[in-house]
Amino acid sequence: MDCRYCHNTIERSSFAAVPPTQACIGCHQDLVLPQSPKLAPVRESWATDKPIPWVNVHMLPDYVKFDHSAHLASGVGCTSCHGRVDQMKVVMQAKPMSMGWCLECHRNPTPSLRPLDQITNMSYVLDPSKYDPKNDPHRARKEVNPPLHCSGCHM
Amino acid sequence: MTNLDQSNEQSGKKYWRSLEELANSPELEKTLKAEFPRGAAELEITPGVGRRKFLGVVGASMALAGVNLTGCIRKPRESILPYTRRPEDLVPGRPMYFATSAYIGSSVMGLLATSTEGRPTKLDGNPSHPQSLGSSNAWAQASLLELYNPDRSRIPAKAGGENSNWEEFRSFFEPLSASLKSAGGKGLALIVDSTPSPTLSFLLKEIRAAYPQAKLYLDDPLFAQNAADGLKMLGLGAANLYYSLDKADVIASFDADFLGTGENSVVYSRMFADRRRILTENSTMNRLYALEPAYTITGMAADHHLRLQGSQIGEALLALAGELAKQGLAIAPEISAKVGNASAALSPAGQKLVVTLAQDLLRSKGKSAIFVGPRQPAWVHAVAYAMNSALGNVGAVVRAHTSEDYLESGDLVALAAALKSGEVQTLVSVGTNPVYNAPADLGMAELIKGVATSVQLSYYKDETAKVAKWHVPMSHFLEAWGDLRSTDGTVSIQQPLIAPLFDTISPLEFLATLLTGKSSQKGAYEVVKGYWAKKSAGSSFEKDWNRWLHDGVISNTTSSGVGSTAPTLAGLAAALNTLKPALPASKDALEISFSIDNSVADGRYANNGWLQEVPDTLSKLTWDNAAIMSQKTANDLGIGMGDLIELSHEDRKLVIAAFVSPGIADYTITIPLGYGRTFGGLVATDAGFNANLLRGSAEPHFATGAKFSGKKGTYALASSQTHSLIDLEARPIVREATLEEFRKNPKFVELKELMPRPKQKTLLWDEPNPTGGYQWGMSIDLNSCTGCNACTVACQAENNIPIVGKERVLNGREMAWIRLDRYFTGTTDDPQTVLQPMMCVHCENAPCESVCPVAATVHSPEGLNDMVYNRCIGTRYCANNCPYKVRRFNFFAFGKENAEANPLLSMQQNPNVTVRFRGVMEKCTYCVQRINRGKIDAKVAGKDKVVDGAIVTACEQVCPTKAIVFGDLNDPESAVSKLKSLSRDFTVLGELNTQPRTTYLAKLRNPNPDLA
Repeated sequence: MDCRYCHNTIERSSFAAVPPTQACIGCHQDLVLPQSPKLAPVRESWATDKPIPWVNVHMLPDYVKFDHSAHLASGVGCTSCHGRVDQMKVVMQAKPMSMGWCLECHRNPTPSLRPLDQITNMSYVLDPSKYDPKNDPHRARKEVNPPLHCSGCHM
Repeated sequence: MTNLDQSNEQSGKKYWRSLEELANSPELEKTLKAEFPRGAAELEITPGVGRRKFLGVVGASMALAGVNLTGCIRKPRESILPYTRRPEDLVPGRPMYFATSAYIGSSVMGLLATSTEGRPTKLDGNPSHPQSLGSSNAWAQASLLELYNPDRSRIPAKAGGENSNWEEFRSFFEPLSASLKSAGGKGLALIVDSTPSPTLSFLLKEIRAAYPQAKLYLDDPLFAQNAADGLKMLGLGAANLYYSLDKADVIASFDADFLGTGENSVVYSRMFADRRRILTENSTMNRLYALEPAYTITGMAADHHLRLQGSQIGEALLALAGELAKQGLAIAPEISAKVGNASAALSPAGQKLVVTLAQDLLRSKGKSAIFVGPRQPAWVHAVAYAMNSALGNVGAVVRAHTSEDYLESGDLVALAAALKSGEVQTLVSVGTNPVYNAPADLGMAELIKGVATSVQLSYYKDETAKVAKWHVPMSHFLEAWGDLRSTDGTVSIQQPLIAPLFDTISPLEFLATLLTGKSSQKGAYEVVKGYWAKKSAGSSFEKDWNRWLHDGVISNTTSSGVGSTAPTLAGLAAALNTLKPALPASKDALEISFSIDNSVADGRYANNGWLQEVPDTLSKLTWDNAAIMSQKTANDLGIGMGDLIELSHEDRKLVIAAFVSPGIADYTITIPLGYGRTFGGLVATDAGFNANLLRGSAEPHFATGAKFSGKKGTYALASSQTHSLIDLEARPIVREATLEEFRKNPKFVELKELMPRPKQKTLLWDEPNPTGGYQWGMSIDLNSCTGCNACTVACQAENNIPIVGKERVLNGREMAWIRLDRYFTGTTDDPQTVLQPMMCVHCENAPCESVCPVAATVHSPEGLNDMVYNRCIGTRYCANNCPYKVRRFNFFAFGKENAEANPLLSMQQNPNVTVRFRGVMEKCTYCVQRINRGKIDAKVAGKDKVVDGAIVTACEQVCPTKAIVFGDLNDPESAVSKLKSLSRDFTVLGELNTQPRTTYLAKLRNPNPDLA
């Protein structure tokens, strides 16, 4: 299942919106595990029209602004920051999410880039010797130029 | 401080900001020379708590904290609560924009509202609306804050403010409306404001039909009743004038503040400024003459300004008519017969001005405009129209627009008479506040108290709500459906952005209830849509309606008005026959001029913190009004700045603080309306003095023969005019020339440099070497800026800037990022002004950056002077080292205080801008959140570059005159690069080699050579 089936705003918005209950219930009402006790919160939310209280795992401080759409458009894959979510039983923070860690990539982004059609591919292995974004005919912008200055992320 | 008597050789002109500065006041010099700004040094701890004790307390609480927090610290657990059913098209994190419109002040404004996750967070002008053209003003910007005002009335209340509920109200109101209907509306008086809404007018007409004996009254101090009466006097019917100022070479304003508080000021400002954009030596420029009792925004923009007592403006106009006739213009005999010796009332300078103005008008026949302000009596408006007609301006510049929505109504005097006679048994007020805004002699509070049944719909529980038997809470315009017709006929839909936050109803719904006797049978949506469905008979209505909602404007409603109707002058002649000359103001017979306040209007915006704290353009007063008078008046009466003085007129008295200002007619004391509210919300109450207490209904605008009857102590006025001063030291901070001087020497700004430009690029710093692909910069045209304060308030709305309250403004701790500097030059009596918006200029060699010990303010490769809040430790070195004095320090957790005082405020705040905490510095960021948004949008769209104009700062967006232009300096074709290449471009404090990114275009004046 593609990440964007649920997080369908990531290409347009800074925010990877958590899906509305509507998206879950599309399958889980009748088709997939309609009786599962683990999905009780989903059914309850749908019945009561109250949101599911998802736990926020990837928390950035309020003074940082991260934009998903910018990273996706540059070819940064989901796993670069979130790890192998497909292999996690319970989602946990896989990377430090510290400023130093962000800057590692911002200073030298090329090795972390992948083809734009591989963004959500969880098993894609980054290999700079095999992929050079500058030679990718499907990229409109060959240079990504991530900001290194303060106001790039702190506004 | 430099002795200002030694005039600066380079500039040839002296500039000063206050009378104290001009007089070299020692106190002000101390302020200017102090190492730290005022209020910076004292440590404010509760009295009795010494520093040692304070440290003890802090130490103890730190130790306790240590006990609790030993071991691992994890971030608090937070939940994400998504929608259960997400609305279609809504993308969390991306704002949506909706067209709507509102009646702001006395102008209809087309608006484009930003909705962030369903919350309206910003209002801007709708570019498709011909009356806003994408711009708006301070009132429109701040009207958003009203939506989230905690003082909003939320439920119906009974007499004495006792809370009730809708059920109880309905069980009272529905039978009332039925019984009124069966009585044909006998004893019903309906008070409305001047909202020009076709649907509202339609409902009122229906009500008139259903209640034929009901009476309609209008209570709106901003409505230009006199102007309407003047046109009626000429037989032009119910009309309103619209001025195409872009076609006028010469404009004469007779007490008309058409760039400031007047009707349609946003579009007039644009048209006015468009005729003053000087790109080359061959560009031409309009000329503005202003005759008025006190400097208004229009007066400050004028090339020639005459201080004149307000009640003599009409005589000056007659003198002009006489002069025009003398110079050969065919003036109607009805008017010329009455000219008499009108010019004798004028000073020699005034007489000369009238002669020259007449010559100028005759040279510009068909290309000029005589503009009369709403405070002048109807006959002055009529005379002006007749003169415009004689000059051939009617049709070319001035056009009359009639409105089919017009309804005959009575005024407050008629209402008071009706109330007194006892013929009114039921009083229904729709969104008006007559108890506060009526002249005191009408005794409106007692009269309304005496009515058997009174129902009032209003946004706040105000003075009228207090005396009415029933109060009903009103919806904000962003919560209700409606429609509005602007002067030029354009109809715009008022589309709600949010469901009412509280259980409130809109004026349309209220009137529909009154009409049908049944509540909520039809929502306002059906009423408005139904009205337009009937109007547009076409089959494509549904499609049209959706397009109108999208565009915000109903297509093909803009009209060009009536060209030339020959006025009938009999009515005017009759009025002129009974005319008595105005009583000349003197020390013992003062004239009080009641003006519409630049910030709070007539009091309708008094409960708005943004507007209370924005400094008035002339006086720089915040949180107060004052009795504004000239130095001569103050000297003759023995009054000093800040004295509490008692003024009396007839049997009315008012104690008010005195403010001495340049540019005010002698013995005329200007008192702005709208302050001294006794019951109107937390912010409004007790701010300033209620001018209405001194007002009489016979002379509601200019009271002559008033007396000063003694001093009653002193009062602290929070005027920011001496705050954050750039040390002038004869430095050329603002630069100006006349158009003629500019044509002779287009590079005149360079002559005014303290140091030749090549020499400025030396020493101290290494040459900056910015590496970014974009280099942001800004250009501000002092020739366009009128000082309307729209930018300051827009910045406040965009950047989550807190307000701090009067006491802290007195301490110099205001937070607004844009400071509108107002400089006087010339004599104290008749100075000229230059207005200069001053915010962080983003120096390439930034003095603030070199003194920050923690690198909290650093340079971005794109030329921005970044402020990193979470690094800042609050040394305030940067603010001290900033030569432009544009850094603002959070002495307290202002943001948190504001949010605590108003829990709704967080709904307004911009999610893309950090809310700053105590102890950090802040300042203009060039709206870096918008820059980043624009860059990311371009990236996502696969573009290498942001298109010029795609990123606009909040101040640039709002500016009615388009004085502010922002963009990329790397692109030689960008608008800002082109402006910066003009010869008028100059750098403030260029000699310091700070190399700011914001530069200014010098001001040009266009004086009449005959008056030099």
